[in-house]
Amino acid sequence: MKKLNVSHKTKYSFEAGPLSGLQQIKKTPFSDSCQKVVNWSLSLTGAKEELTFTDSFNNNVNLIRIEPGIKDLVIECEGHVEVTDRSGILGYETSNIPLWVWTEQTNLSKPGPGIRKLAKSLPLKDDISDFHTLMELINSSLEFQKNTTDVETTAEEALKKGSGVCQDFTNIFIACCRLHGLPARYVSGFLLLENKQIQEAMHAWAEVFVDGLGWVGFDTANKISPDDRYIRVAIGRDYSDAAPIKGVTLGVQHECLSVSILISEQ
Amino acid sequence: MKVGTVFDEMWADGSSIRRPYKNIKTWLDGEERSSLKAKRRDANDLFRLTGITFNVYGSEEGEERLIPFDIVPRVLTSNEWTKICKGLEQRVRAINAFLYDIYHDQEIVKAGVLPLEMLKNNPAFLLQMMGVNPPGQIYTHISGVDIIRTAENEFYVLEDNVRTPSGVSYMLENRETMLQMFPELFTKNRVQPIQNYPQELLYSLKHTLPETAENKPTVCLLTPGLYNSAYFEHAFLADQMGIELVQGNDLKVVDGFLAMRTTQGHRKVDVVYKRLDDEFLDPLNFNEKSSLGVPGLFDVYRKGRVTIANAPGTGIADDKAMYSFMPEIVQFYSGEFPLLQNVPTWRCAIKDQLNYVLDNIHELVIKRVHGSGGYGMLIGPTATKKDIANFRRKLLSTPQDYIAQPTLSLSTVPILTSKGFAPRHVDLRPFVQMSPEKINIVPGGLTRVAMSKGSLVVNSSQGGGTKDTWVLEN
Repeated sequence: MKKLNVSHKTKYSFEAGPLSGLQQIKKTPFSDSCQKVVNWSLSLTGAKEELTFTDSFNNNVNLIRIEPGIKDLVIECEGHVEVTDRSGILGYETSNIPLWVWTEQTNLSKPGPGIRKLAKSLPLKDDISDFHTLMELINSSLEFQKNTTDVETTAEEALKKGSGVCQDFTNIFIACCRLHGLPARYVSGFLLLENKQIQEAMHAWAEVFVDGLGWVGFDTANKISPDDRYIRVAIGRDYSDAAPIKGVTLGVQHECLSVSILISEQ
Repeated sequence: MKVGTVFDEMWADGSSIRRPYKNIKTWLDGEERSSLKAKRRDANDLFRLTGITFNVYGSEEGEERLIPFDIVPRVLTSNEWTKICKGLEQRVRAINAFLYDIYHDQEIVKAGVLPLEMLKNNPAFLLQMMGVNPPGQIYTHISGVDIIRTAENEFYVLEDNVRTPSGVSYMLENRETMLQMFPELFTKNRVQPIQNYPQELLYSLKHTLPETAENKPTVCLLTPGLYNSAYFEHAFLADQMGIELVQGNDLKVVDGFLAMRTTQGHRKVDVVYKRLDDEFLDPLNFNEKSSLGVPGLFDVYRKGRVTIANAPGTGIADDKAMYSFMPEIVQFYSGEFPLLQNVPTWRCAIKDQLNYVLDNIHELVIKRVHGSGGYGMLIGPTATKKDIANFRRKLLSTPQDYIAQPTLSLSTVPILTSKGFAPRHVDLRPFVQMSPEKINIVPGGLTRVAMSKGSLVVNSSQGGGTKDTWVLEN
């Protein structure tokens, strides 16, 4: 078991402040069979919290309103989570979402010929080693490279491009699993790196529902199943369901975003 | 079901007048034809003056039309009505239970009664509603169930409308007009009153409150605005209920609650009577391009701090493909046989059924699964060769978008035409209100009538008219 400290700061700078804005923040982890949230806080500068709720995926959501005219919006999270290494096996859980929903492709996971070909080369079912082979296969066709894709890049597009970030690796993995009729989902979360590295983005990986085991995590970008360095924060059918910040802002000019995440072990 | 023979509600088989219409006949016989025609003109002038018009989609830009009003009432006996009400209550309760199930455990799918395919890729299924517990467990605060009659004792449900059923303002104005033009009729006939509909609706909305509501709850009506085809009705109902008529930009999430802008600042809103499609309700949670909705409204709803009537996601229960499962749905949740029958329906998504439809297209009515208002529909017996060829192509390329039904002989009721009285086909849309306390059904509903001879299309968007509908006291 690891005791992890998280400090996550997102700062928007506006040249001309927004007239109004409402955002859903999904940055607060929940306790589950692998992790226990000991404490967590979210603080805001330039915005106020309207309400907190859990969405249909059971994600914790803060609805915040940006104060009109502000130049800087800062969302800061701090917390402490205990994580147990269970080889990525989350197991069975109670959920509002029936399993079949996770077998449906979404706009981001929708496969084209490239993904179909990739998925076809494997027998995916209940043998865990097949999913590891899939991760290897994706890594041999995709190079980890920042700034070649964005949050709207589909799995097929990223595969065609041959490069991407953890989101893209995850989208491709999910698309392949769903092609085999398996329930698969997107996880957004934190990952402890060595040497107290400052990270510029949250991490993403996938979970597949395997008969006999329940939900099992696969971090395609790192070719491993999550262990006690991983904190799950939000889940969804794809990035858009689990996005850390989603919102409507009116009248914004030139927004500039900086993110700094520091995960450390106690 | 008899196909081909027409049941006339005044004359039955043609030989003798049916009892409920006796007084109507006496009245009509006693009036000068010319004075009746003059009164009909007056009635239509009255409608124009009150501003009861209807915007027609797909016609000349923003065309406003007057819905033709006919002065001959459509009459139902108290016995007929009691029977219909029992069926409606059973059906609406089952639909509400169905919606709760679909957005929770989906037992009906697990039991193998409803195929999963009916939910997969169905745009009317709102994943955002999963696990939501709407105040009072009510999804369908208002239902408009379209009923047709084919014989003395044969009534069928043609369609369930549980998204945003409209037309009740016409029902109210039709009665108001008849009372003004022919007051003596209502002294000679004991007609059940309907004028308290808006108060009943307000009562039922005020009895389906979120837990956060205080003593004097605030209800408002959310309209997409002036350009919506039913804007008149929105303004009319808000006025009749004495509640605010608001558009998206009048509402805002304030301190975690839904609030309405007023001259004295923001006021908390407890119930939204929503006359806006789900897709446009909240750009943060649904279609992000919508400028008609209220950002964050659904989050407040999810938190249990506001009632939305009807609940978002009810559309899953009223599309035309789901309709074909309604007998099974009613039975699954009520444990009883359906009191109101469905019209037999072929689902074109199923290959055998599609083949049947293609082979018999000349005799069938083909409807779009997700359509409404009679748009994009084919009536086989009266369609041109070109229309049929066109629909064949559509059926073959996207069969899942269509269902087919036999061309039913809707019953007829006389209307006053320029050449005298003549029978025209009618249907009936009763309005059912539901609160945790009770189900309330206004006696009668809206009778829609096809104004041209032989036509079976009663939709106002397609030139249909309306009549006052009477339910007689026992």
